[in-house]
Amino acid sequence: MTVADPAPKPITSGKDPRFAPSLYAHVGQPGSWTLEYYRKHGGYEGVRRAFAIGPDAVIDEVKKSGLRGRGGAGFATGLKWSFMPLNDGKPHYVICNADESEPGSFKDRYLLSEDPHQLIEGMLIGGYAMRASVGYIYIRGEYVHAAERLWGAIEEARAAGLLGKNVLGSGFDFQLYVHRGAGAYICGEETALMNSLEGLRANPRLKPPFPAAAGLYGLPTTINNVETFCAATQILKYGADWHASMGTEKSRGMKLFQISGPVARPGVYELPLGTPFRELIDDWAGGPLEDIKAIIPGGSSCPMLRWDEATLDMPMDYEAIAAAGSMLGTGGVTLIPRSVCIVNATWNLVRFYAHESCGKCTPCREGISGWMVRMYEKLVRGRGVPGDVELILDMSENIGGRSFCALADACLGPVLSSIKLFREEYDALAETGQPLYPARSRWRES
Amino acid sequence: MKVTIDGIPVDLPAGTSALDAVFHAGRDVPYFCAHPYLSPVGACRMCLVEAGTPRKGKDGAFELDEATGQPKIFWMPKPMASCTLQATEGMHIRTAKTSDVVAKAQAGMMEFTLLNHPLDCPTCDKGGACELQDRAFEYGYGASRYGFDRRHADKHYALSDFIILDQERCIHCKRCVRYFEEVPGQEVLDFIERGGHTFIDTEEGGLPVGFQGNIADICPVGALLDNVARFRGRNWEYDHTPTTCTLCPVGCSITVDARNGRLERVVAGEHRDVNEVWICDAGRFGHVFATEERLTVPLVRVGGELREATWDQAIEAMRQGFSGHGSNVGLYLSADSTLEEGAALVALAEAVGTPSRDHWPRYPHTPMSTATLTDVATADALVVLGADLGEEAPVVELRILEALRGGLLPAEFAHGTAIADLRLTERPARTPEKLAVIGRESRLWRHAGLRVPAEGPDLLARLARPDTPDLQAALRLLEEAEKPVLILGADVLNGADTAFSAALSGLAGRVGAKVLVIPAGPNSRGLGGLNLVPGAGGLPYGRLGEVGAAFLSRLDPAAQGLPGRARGFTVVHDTHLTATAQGADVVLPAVTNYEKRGTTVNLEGRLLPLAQAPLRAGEGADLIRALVAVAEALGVRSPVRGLRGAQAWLEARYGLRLAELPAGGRLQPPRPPQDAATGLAHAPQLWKPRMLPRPERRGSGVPGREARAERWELPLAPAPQPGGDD
Amino acid sequence: MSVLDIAKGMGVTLSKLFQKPVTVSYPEERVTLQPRFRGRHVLTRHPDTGLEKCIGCSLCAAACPAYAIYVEAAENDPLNPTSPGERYAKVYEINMLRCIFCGLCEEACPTGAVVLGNEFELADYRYGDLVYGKEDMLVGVDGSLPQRREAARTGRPLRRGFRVEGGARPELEGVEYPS
Repeated sequence: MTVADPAPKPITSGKDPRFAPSLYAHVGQPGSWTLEYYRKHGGYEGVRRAFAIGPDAVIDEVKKSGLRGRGGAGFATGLKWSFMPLNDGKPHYVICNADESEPGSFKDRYLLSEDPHQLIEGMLIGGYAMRASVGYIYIRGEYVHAAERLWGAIEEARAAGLLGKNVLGSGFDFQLYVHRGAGAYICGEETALMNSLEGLRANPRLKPPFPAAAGLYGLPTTINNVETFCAATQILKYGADWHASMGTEKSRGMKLFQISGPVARPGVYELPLGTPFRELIDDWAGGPLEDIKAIIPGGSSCPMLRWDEATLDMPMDYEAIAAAGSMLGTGGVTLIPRSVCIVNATWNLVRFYAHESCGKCTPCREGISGWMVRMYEKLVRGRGVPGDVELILDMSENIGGRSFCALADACLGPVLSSIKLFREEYDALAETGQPLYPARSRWRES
Repeated sequence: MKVTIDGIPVDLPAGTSALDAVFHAGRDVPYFCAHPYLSPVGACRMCLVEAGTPRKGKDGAFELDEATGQPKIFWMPKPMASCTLQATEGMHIRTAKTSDVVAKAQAGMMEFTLLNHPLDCPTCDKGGACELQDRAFEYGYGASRYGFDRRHADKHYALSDFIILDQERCIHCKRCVRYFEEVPGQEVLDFIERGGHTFIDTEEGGLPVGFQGNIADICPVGALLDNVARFRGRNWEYDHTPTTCTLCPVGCSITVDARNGRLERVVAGEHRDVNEVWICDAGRFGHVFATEERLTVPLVRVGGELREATWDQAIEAMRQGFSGHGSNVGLYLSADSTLEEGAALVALAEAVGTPSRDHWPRYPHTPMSTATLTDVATADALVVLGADLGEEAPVVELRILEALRGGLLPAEFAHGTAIADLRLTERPARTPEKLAVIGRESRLWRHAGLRVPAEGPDLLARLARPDTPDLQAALRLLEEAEKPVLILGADVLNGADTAFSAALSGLAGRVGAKVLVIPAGPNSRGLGGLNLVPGAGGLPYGRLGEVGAAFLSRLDPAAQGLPGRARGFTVVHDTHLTATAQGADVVLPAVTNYEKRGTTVNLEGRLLPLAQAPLRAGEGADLIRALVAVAEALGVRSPVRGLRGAQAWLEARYGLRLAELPAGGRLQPPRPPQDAATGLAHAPQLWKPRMLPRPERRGSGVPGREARAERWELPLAPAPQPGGDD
Repeated sequence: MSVLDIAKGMGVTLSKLFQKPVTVSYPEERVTLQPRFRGRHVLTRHPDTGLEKCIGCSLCAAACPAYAIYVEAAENDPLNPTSPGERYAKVYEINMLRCIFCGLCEEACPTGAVVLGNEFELADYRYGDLVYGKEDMLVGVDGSLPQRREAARTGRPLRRGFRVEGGARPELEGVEYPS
């Protein structure tokens, strides 16, 4: 790009006329999950283009697009793909992490059930770029409907020569398998997912070696989120420049934001990265239905942010939210109303993590699953004593950064942020046993 | 590689874990899940340290700290688990001694570890030797802030006759799970449930026979305990005697724990070249005979009945019994006797002038071993010929499996064996194609890439000139490997002769293989080298019934179905009133190998020392002293009248210097054993009937999970059966 | 020294002449002991269940400076337990000749099973009779071995040569001393 060529203003709003949904363009359309529908709307053009430009060029294209992993960590996808060893003579694997279990995240289930071919195409592209001939889709066990759609789509694709030997006459062989999980959040952790896929107990593995060196069955493996693979499909279809034209400088492209809590229209919205919270909440979700006090920006693991003007004006991208002390995560925005006891709300999340701890390492098994959840129960049941909050904070210090995988740290996200923002609610429970916001029925009269 | 621990610079080989770096520097870090011979997993999170590394700038040199001119250390933001952290060039590590962050992290982790631990230390057999106790004392807060009920789970139920499990005490270090997966290659135990409900158990309701006892040694708490030694004593009450196991020719290091004159427990010792830290179940649990129903005084047959007597009366009875037989006396001893005892017997036989002397079990001809157990563990091809290692030398099986998972011998540091060897991985990849087993079906079969069912003494000849594709493949395996080892067992050795040895060395030389010959008895390699076989005109043990008078030391031919008596007069020297002893004329009380000083030679030809555990043996005497009495009765004077004398005799005759043997023994290729026909075939059997724990010793009243056992068909090896050649 | 001083001293003597004597003519009379007097050990039981408190942990033996205690533990029969939990003392012996009555065993005991009582009349003829087992020390066993032997021989009730001021201390659960 030359100096004379003025860079077009990047798209950072869903209301920008240049923006159009791509990932979710066909979600909700009748028959959108069939090959016939998908083909009619330009399906499998991306992979054709990938075959035309060659695997290295595909990785370059993904690198150029600025795509970052949509599963939560936000690692540059092109870079991750380039870690796979070349010509090492071993089989390679690509795995799609469809074990979407984080509270507040529900973007992948519609991609899986409404547009499965988009994912198959993305995995074909990824598999082709990383010289993998086998792909696995590890789908959350509860997504029965989505799994069935996926099986159907894979059968269709196989019959149409899009999977199997010599895909589309390119000489590239690719097989795709769906594996249904058995309901463990920890299987969203990539190494635990691989253990589960191998038929072992879903405990995270030691890193290094990283999956790109020794992953599934000890062979080079790359794991990406559903949305990442779908974005790769769109990048190959529309080009890296199209993708890079959206979003902020370091966070490029579109993202599926999910919003839940007391808003008029909760759901999934595809918006460019960098869209402010205000636009998502007010313009797309129809605004809050009651007084809000906190916002979880990206799924339950992300520290809460205070509901204020600065937060509302914050662009939803990886950097701005990180600067505010939280994470974009999966983009699962959750609003917490003023009238809800924050300790109770956090207990709900802590219970989730305590239930999902795999039990491998001490701080998570004993700290989260054994102690933290009981401290919260004690507080919420009104049996707290002064010093309990300090004890939770001290315990958190002994858990945070000491655990084997990120699950324990993920639990500390809501715990520490809620204590930081709403200490007075904790203190009230610890000292008087009475919550500042007593529980009430949350079923709205309709 | 230079690493600095708490300011102490140490030089380490690349690939060392931070944990070993800390210990090498003489500092300490608590750990539970790491174990020297198991893969590091980083599950207990106790071994937290602060670590920092220098960074290289664009020019390839380390970025320097402007103030000091030293490489600038970039500290990692959080404490790291040192067992899974690889030390790198220039790394700095701070332990709890110099870092408050680490001290707090470790104390906090200890609080978590103790959260659900029942603290029933007074009733726990691990108390006093418990890693958790020690570490909690050293690194813990001293008090817990946990104000809730502890987790309750199944307490003290027997997983097997030998092992008892207490799920409440488990701290989930996963050592036992990894042990079974990595060492004997058995998938039995695992975690069940998740999170705070995680517990250890086996679905099949039992443990595989063979090497299960080792989990009682490696459990850092009292969750898995020795059921045979249950409640026999507290750890500080035992007299610990490090010695060598003489149940099979491997010669594992063991520690014998005795209390009040009773042998209560055997635990594994570490010998890096022999058994590492693993021993077999027979060696660990088969010790009850050392305490039960011991013969404590001499017995003399008076009026057709054995009566208790003094040694003097016994000598007098022997004098009368031996008179008239001249030198027609046979002297026979068990092949687990020490070299010194063998020397005493040979010296006496020479003084008497009898050619009838023998040890049992032995083969008519035993070829020499050229391989060590370390050679087995690092071999790239192994062929096991006619051996049932489970009965002959169980720990060899573990060393073979070690070769199949890569043959990684653990590194050694100032503090001993590397505690967290980062080359070891969980669920290691195995290479069964490196192992061929030719012979009868045995436990080793399921680990072998090539299994050839065959039997008979001609197996070696058939392997040298293979006539089937399987044997051809086995030979090819030896030929194509660089460090192959050929292991020979009873099935081929029973028919061995000089020609067999020549064929063996021919084959070994042709394919470049080392040979490991498993001798028949625990010390038959050593005793064979002492010329302890029938001389010209002498009668072997198998022809005991033809000798005029006989002295038998710890041999029980009657139980073997052989004639239990000499023609005229029989003296039996044994620890128990065996079937043979019951028919003898004079019975002298003996001592077990746990109560002997002396030297034994293992299958590699390694001289290993025996030490004396303080057991109550009454008037029992070892063979050297018993032979002094026999010499007196025979009216001769033997040059060997004590342990020192035996060692002097061995040095004078064979140049063996045993008095200065180091604790770990010495590899000294022994003299080739003498050839002599035995007239008997040796059928190896590890578990002798009297070694089996009696019901009252099995931690009385601990219920197993019978209900479970009914539900599951046990896919396990069969339980040891009484019987055999002892 | 003046005559006055001598008179003073004699005065003290004189005044004491007419007081009740302090000397206790033991064994005809009973001696009064303080509750914390350390005498022969008692192995207590849980008052509600009657199970022995001793779990056979040997910590008393470890704490004993005179090596006077010997414990052998065994597994409780779950249907007919001797003590709560999995372990009980099959053999519990204290050599009263070796014992220095320091009370460290009582301090070391995690369950409060071994408590030093007030009995001190242990003198006996044979060494072996001074090694007290469970049958001599469990709560409910009155007196020392020679006292019981004497009582059995003469057919008279066992007689203790002491009383305890305020009765046995509360640690001696189930033990009653004359006060």
